[in-house]
Amino acid sequence: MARVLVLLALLPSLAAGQEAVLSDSTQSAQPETSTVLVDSAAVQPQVPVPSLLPSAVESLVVIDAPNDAGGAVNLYWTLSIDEGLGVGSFAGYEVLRAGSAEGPFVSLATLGPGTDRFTDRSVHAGASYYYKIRTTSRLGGMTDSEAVGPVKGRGQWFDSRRVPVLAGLLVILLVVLTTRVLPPEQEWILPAVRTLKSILGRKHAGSVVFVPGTGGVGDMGTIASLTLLEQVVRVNADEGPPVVVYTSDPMTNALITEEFGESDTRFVCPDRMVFSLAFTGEALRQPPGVGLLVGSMGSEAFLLAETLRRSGSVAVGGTTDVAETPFLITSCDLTLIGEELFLVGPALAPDGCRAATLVHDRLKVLTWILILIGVAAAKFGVAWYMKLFGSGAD
Amino acid sequence: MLRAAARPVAMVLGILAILQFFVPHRAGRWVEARLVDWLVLLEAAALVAGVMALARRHVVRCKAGGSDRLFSSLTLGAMGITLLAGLLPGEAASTTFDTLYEWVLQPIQSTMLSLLAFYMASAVFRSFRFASAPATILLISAVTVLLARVPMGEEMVPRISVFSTWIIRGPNVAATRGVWIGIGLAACATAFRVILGIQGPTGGRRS
Amino acid sequence: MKIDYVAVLASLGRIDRRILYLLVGLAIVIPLLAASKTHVTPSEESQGFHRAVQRLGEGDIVLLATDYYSGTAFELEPMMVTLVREVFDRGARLVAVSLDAQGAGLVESQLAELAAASGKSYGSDWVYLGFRPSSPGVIVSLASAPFAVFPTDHRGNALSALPLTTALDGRTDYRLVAVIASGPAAQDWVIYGHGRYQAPIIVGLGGGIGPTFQGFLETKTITGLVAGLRGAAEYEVLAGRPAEALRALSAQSMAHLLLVGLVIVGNAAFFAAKWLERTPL
Repeated sequence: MARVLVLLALLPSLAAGQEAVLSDSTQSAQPETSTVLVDSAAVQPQVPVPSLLPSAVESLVVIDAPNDAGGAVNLYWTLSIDEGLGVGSFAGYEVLRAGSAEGPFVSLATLGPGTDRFTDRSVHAGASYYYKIRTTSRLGGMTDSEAVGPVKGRGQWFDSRRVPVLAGLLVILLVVLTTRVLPPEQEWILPAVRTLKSILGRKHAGSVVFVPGTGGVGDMGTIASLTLLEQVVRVNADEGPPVVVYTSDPMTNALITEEFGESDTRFVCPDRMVFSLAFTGEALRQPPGVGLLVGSMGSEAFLLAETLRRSGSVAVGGTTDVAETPFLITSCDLTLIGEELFLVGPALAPDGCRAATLVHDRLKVLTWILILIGVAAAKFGVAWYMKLFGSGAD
Repeated sequence: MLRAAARPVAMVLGILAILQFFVPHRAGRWVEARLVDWLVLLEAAALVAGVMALARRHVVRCKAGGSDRLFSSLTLGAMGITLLAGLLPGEAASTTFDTLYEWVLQPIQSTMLSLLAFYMASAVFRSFRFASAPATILLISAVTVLLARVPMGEEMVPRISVFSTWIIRGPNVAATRGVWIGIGLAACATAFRVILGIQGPTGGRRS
Repeated sequence: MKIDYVAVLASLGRIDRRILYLLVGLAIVIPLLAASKTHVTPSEESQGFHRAVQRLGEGDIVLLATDYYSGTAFELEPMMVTLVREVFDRGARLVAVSLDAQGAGLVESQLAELAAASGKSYGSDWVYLGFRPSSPGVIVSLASAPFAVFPTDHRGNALSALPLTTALDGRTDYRLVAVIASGPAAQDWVIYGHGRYQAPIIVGLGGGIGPTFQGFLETKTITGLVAGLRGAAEYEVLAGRPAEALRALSAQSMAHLLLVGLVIVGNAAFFAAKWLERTPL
């Protein structure tokens, strides 16, 4: 009768995957592991018991990873009970995947204790997968969870983490589209524009030399410089000296040649230092009257500016590389700092591009307001506002 | 007709380039990859056109004579040697390029960059003056950081690194952030104006 | 003979620039030839850089991004050399990529030399992916699909065949991202890399652009920063490997002191000339 009762008590623990080892004379005495035949549901052991068959994980959830091209699936599970009980032999988890519920399952990754999630980045978008989490023991045992699935990796059409970026772009677009040119008497003229106009308006011995930076055509500093170049060419068109353009980037050269012709465009070399060397030679042999170094430039900006100074030219400089701006200030007669680079070209245009300055002023006011709100939010712990301006990355 | 078609094509491609940033789907990645492919192709073609224009100009200068003839001849000679080196069979091409890179290009690059030190000396001597309030602030900041960045300076002026650190972490960071914000906003607005055709890529208003 | 000191001082303002260049040359060359010793106190920025490397363990993978060429190698190569030596000493492994076409060959030869000296084998302890243009694209792709942008390494080996890179996933593989750059790539790594890689980012920069990254350090976007020759020397001291940067720092010290001297002389000459203009003869 006693043996029947013991066997009946064994059944629930067998169903739960609990170890139930009958001791015999061939095994060394391990009273905690070999002779305890109890219903684990009824009695919780006070001392953690090293188990050959670890507890399975529960609540395995598999979902398509959001905001991707469909190549990833996220897995979440509740930690195995053995971890919570501090079972010393618990080794960790293994992630298994198959194309069908019946398998065959292949191992994707081995994870240590304490891990309750995994991202499978090797899925093919649109294909169905089933997953299991295998708990492993240092004694060699392993227990698989139920297979969960099917789950398909799907590509999303919108990255929801980038909503703040989209909102910002829409605000800028709205300001650009709704800002109109003011009547000239109401316009505020950038001091840099006034100075540049007076420089270009004077008679100079020698040509006007223009360097649109050494950045590529995709660089916004280059676009800004080309905007200024058109105005410089226009101002000099009637009575002024020729404008000679020295280019380092092939695409910029192609664009300028297309707009202004090949005769006054000099393509030199994509290497910035070699470009500086060539420009130095030409400028010292044929000193220009005015030199404009405006665009995206690095350390060569200072070399070019000093060359102009040595040749006795009036130098106007501006770069989007903030670190180089101080060097230009020491060498140039006029330095365009930061956004002045982008505004001075449209501001010189006679026919209405001048709205650029007003657009920028409005955007700056908006930015100030956002920064002030941000300072208050940081002070009073408004976390969602800080998160709104996160990187938008994963 | 081609020029008339260029603007709407540029507008469509510009809008696509912005949209693909928000679309993680494979379609977005496909658009991004094609745009990059075209950019690489155009850059390669532009490089060939640029080199041909460069060669043409220096041939004209050589024919015209004058003081620039020597430099133009050297330029054409160097281009020819480098081109021929690339046409050598097998390993000889990469070995020759390695030699040209190590013994010609690297020294030129290092020399040009080292000129910055010499130019800075003359700029410092000429420009750093107690001439106005901004110039004075520039001078004091520059001298403080110059001394603090080297051990001898720190020994000569005790605790100067405290002031230097404050300059770098305080006004410098504030000014840099302000300039970056300005550049970012202006670049974004300019990009929209170019994409939407309000302003052409070489400036000027487009009706 | 009466000497008009004011006039002499004013005439110094018209000194031939070639004399200034000569003085700079001497200020740099003499300390280098004299092999004078110097010492530095490491800053908090450099200590942050060093601490991040010290946290590496056996088998950890470091992503090293280099963007410099021969012109800027004098400042950045000492940082890279010290970093790579520390990484190998700690038993970590290295995946390196270059974002400057001209520097790609320079970096590979340097890495090969360092690996050989540390007894590390290519393919299992270190891999050099080579150069790709368009740094934002490379940075983003390396984090999500490394094989797409680098199917092979610089030597033409398939990444899937190399023990170190065969299971590269991207964002979660790296224990540390180290950027040694002179150009815009450093900013690209910070902007596009932060948040994509589940690893701290440390940056080594040229001295000129170092201060512009101070803001990133304060917002903890980057964990450590070494800037310029001074930063490289501080890192060498922290790593216990005083080398090129520390030796060159004595030359930089003399040059800086010369510049300060030129500021003083230049201002004295300027005010002397102004005084002479105002004083009636």
